Amino acid sequence: MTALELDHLSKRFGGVDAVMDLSMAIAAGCVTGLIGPNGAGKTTVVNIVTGILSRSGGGIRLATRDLSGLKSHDVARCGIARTFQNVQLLRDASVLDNIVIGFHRHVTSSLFANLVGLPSVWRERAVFRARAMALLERFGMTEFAETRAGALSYGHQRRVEIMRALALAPSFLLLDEPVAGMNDVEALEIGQAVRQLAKEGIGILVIEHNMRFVMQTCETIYVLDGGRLIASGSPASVSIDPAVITAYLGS
Amino acid sequence: MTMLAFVSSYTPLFDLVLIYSLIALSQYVSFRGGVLSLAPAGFTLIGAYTGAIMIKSTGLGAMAGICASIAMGACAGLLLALPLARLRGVFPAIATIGFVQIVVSLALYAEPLTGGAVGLTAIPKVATTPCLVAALAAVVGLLSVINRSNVGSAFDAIRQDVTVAESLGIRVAHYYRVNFALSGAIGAVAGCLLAYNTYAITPEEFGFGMLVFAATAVILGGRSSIAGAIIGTAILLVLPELARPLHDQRLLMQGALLIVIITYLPQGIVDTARELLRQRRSVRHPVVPARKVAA
Amino acid sequence: MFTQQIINGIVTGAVYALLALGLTLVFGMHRILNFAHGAVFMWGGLIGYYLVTAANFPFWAAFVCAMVGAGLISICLDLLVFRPLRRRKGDELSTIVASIGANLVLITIAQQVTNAQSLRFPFDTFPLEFYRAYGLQISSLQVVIIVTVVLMVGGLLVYLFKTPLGAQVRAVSIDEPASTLLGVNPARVYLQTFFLSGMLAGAAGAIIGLTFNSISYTMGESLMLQAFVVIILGGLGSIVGTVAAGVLIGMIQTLVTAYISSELSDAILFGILFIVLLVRPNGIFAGFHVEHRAA
Repeated sequence: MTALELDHLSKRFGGVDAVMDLSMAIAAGCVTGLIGPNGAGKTTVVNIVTGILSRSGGGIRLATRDLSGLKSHDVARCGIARTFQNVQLLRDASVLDNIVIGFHRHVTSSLFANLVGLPSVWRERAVFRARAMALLERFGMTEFAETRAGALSYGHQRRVEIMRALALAPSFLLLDEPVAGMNDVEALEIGQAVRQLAKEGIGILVIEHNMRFVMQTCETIYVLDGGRLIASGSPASVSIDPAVITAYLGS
Repeated sequence: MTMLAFVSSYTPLFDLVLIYSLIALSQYVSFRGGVLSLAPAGFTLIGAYTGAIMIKSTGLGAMAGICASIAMGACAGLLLALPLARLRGVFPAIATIGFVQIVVSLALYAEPLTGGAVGLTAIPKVATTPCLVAALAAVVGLLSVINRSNVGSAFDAIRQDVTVAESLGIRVAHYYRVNFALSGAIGAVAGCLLAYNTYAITPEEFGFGMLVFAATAVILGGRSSIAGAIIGTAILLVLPELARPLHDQRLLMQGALLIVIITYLPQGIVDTARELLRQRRSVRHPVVPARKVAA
Repeated sequence: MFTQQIINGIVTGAVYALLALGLTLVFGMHRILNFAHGAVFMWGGLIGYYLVTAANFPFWAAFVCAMVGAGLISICLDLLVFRPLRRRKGDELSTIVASIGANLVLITIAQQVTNAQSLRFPFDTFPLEFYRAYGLQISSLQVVIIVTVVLMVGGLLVYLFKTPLGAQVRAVSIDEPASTLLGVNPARVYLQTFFLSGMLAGAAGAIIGLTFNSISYTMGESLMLQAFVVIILGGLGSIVGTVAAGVLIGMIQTLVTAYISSELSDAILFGILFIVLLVRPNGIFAGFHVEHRAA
C-alpha cells in the first residue's frame, strides 16, 4: 500500500525551528490526523509537502518517488491535492466553473488549440463540466452549479473547495482545517464524506482543532508541538497520552 | 448637415476608438491574467514602428506588416516575461513602466531607423474603418474563445491567488509567459493599425500618456469583461470631445478618474452594471436554499 | 578626468539616494509604491524656485520651505488617495494605479502653473566657488549637497532607530493591528512617513533644480526610472542599501553620459534593472544590513 512519507523533515526560518525532525506517514485509504496547539507547525508541514516552502532538511517520499524540492504545480501533478485554511474560491465565478479549474491537471489539449478554439478544447471542457457535475451530485449540491461561489454559505464554500481539490483526481488529499467554523451537523457530513473518500483509496491528512471531528474521523493521529512530534497513534491512545495533555493544557 | 457628412466628420474619432480599444484589450489581457503589467503602450510602439518600417521599406504590403508586428509584439512580451514570470506585485509594475520609457527613448535615439523625434511620416493609409472593425472583431472573438478555454480558466485561477493556482497543478510561470505574449501581440497589432491609419507616428504618442490611457480605460470600464475595455476606451475618447474644458484638461481628468474609480468603483462601470442586473434578477428568482443531506 | 567624473557621479548619486530614499521608506513601511513621488520631488523644486524668484527668499530658506511644502503635498496624497484605499482594503494594483493617477494630477497642475516652461534659477542664487586640488575640482554646491545628504540620511536613521516616534513607525510597519494595542495611532504614523518621504523628495527637487539650473513639470518623470532602479538594486525598504545603490547608479549614469551617450544612459539603466530582476530581485545589498532595514 503506498504512503506519503515524511522522513526527518525539518524547516528553519532565520533563527526559528518551525519543524524539527518530523517523521510520519499518510497511508493511502486511511484518514490521518495532524493536531497540535496553535503555531505548532502543522500548516508549515503541509506547505513544505506541497512545495510552497522549501525544506531545511529531511525528505518527502511518495512510494518510491522523492518529492523533496519539487515545485508546487509538480507536487500537485503527482496527485497530491490540498485545501487552505482560508477558502480561496473565485467569488464571482459559478460553483461549476470553480470546480472545473481543478481539472487543469487533466488538460491534454494544446496551447494552440486553446487559443484558437478547436473542437477538441470544447469537448474536453464538456467532459470537465460533466465530471464537475458528478462531484456536485456526490456532495448533494447540484442545484448550486450555476450559483456565484461568493453567495454560498461558508460551509458550502468549503465543500466546493474540497470538490475542486478532488477534481485533481488525487491519491492524497491534505485538508487544512476543513470544518473550522462549522456546526456539528455540517462537520458530521464532512466527516462522512472524508471517510468515504478514504474508502475509495485516497490517503487523507486532516489538520484540525475540532477534537470531536478528529476523533471520529481519523484512524491515526500525529501530535505536533513546537515543531516536534510528541505523540502518535490511534485516537484512543493519543487522547490519554500525558505529553499531549500537557501540550494542550499546560502542566 | 447630411448624414454622410455627419458620419465622415466623426470617422476619425470612431477609428481612434477602434484602435485604442485594441490597446485597452492588450491591457485587459494582463489584468485578466493577474499580471501587473503596464507594458501595452510599449508593445503598441513596437508594433507601430514595425508596421511602418515594413510597409515603407519593403514591398511586402500591409498584411506582412501586420504579421511582422504581431511577431515582434509577442517576442517583446516573451522577453519581458523572462525575468518577471517569477516575480509578483510591484516588480512587474516597475519593470513594465520602465520598459515603456525605454522603448520610447530607443525610438528617439535610433534616428536612422525610426526617424528619431520626428518619427515616421507618409505612411500609406491602408487601415480604413472596415479594416479596423474587422480587426477589433477578430481580437474580441479570440479573447472570448480564450476566456472560455482552459487558458482562461488558468488565468482566472492565477488572478485569484497564485499559490492556490499552483496547488491545482497550474504552471503559473508558463501562463505568465502566454499572457505577456498575448498582450504583446494585441498591443502590437493596435500599433500597426495606428500607423496604417494616421499617416505618421512619433515616439511621444506611445509614452506614459498612452500607458495611463490603457490602464484608465480598462479600470473605468471594468477589468473582468472584454466589453469593459471597449466601453472605457469609448468614454475616455468621446468625453473630451463633448466639451472644450474637458478636452483641455484631458490628462487631469484621466488622473482624477483613475483615483476616483479605483477607490470608489473598483469594479468599473460594466462590471458594476452587470452586478446590479444580477442582483435585480436574483431578487425576482431567489436562489433555492440548501437542503440538508440526510446524515 | 576620470576621477573628476567619479566625483560628479558621487554627487549625482547622493541626490538619487535622497530621492529614492523617500520612495523606499514608504514602500518599506507600508508596502505602498508611490508613483506620485516624482511629482512631489518636482513640486519641491517648483516651490523652491518660486520662493527664490517671486518671494525673494534666500536659498537656504527656500530650501527648507520646499522640503516642508513637499512634505505637506505628500501628506495630502496619503489623506486623499491612499487612506481611502486602505479603508476599502485596496490591493496592490489599486494602490499603484491610484498613485499613477495622483502623479498625473500633480503634473498637469504643475504644467499649467508653469505654462509648460522650463524655469531657471537666477544667477546669484547660490554662491559658487570652486576648490581645486590634484587636478580635480569640486564646487561649493557639490560639497553642500553631499553634506546635506549625509546629514539627512543620518537624521533619518537616528529618527527611525533612536527616537520613540521612529519606534512607532517601525512597529506599524511590522504589525499594524498589534501596534494599535500598544497605543500607536497608525493613521498618524502613515502621515509621518509620508511627510518624511515628501521632505526628502522636496530636498532632492530643490537641489537638483539648483544643480542643473532647470526646473520643469517633467523633471520628476525623467528621474523616476533612476529612482526605481535604485530602490530595487538597493533592496526594497533598505535604507543603507538605497543610499549605496543611489551612489552606484549616480556614478554609472555620469560615466555613461560622459563616455558613451546620454540618450543611451536610460536604456543602460533599464538593462541593469532587468538583470537585477533576473538575478537578484531582492537587491544586491540584500542580507547585508538586516538591522538597517526600514521594515
